[in-house]
Amino acid sequence: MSTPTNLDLTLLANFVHQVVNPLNGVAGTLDNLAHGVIDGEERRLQRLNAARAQLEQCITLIRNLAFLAQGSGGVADHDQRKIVLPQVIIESAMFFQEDGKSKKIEINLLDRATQNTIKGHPELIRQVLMNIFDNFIKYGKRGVPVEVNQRIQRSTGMALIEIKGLSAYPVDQEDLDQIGNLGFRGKNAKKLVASGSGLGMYICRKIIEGEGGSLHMEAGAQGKVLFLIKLPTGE
Amino acid sequence: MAKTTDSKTVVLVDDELHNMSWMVDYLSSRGLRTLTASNANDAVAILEQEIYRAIIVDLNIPIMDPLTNTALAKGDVYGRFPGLYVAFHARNKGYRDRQVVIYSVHRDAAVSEEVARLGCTYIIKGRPKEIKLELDAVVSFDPTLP
Repeated sequence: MSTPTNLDLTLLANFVHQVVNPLNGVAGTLDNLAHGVIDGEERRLQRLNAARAQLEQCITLIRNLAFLAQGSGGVADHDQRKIVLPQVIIESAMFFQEDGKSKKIEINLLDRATQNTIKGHPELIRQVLMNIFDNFIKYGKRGVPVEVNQRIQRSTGMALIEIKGLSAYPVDQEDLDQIGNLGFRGKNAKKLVASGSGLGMYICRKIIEGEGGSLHMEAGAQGKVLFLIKLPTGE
Repeated sequence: MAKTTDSKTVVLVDDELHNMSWMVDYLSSRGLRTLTASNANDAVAILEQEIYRAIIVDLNIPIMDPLTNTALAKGDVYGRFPGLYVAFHARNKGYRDRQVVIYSVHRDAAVSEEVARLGCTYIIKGRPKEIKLELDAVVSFDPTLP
């Protein structure tokens, strides 16, 4: 067995930090509910929904770690299925309803009607979208919605998913090229949340490239951020 | 040592406050209001206002200029764990040892040493029952009262 590197150990330590925090939130909420600390049915329901969102956040994080350990999503080519883009985008955004509400950040799909499809692994595409949405909820500007659009580019035949929003702190241009490198976190992210694994965007890039696509990021003035995912339609 | 000037308010400092709403609920059930901050700079600004009932600080929080170098100047451990700087600042403002609680996910030997020097409470995040016991002990009496 090879000796773990400093990157492995730092990443694991950060990962534990990231997972324990929401789990502590869930345990605290359950303990409060069990002991009648929270008054009112509506508040109790809100706290339960928030706890569910925290658990879902943990599941996404653990899946990222599993992906890293396996070096792939553990899927075979024959697992590919038809993916309806508006559907997978809406499903992924739904996980962030509670967290988004608390931070006043909505995720809006602009074109819900055009049922563009691609052939691929739905769970992996969902993992990519959830990691990117998670970043917007964590590091996005409060009160500013995240806009998602999807279309097929006629010239290339590729499916395009554009995700636009505002970062609470602008992304440094020098950081931009490094986002997606294993363990890297932008300075804008560290100003809001001290610890993170730098795993999510790395996994996104790996999955998208594994599906035959590409991930492009832009950051502009006043914190504008754009993620552009290009995926083959498989047709 | 200073006297508590706002005995009904606890300050909670954490960069992921949505994960700490259970603590706000718990403190509220004990009749305490919670003021929140999500970085060391905001926490220090809040501490300038009053001597609150207690301050509960996550060790791993963001810190920004102009405080970054001030914290680093106190030692490497303050640079790695800016929450420690907030605890130091609180103690300097006159908060008693029992009024300053810091917590983290991992226990760190260098933090333990510094905490012993500062004189404040250090707890590990994980089991809310244990944290609640500690909170109960903290809010059960005001150490600044005669």
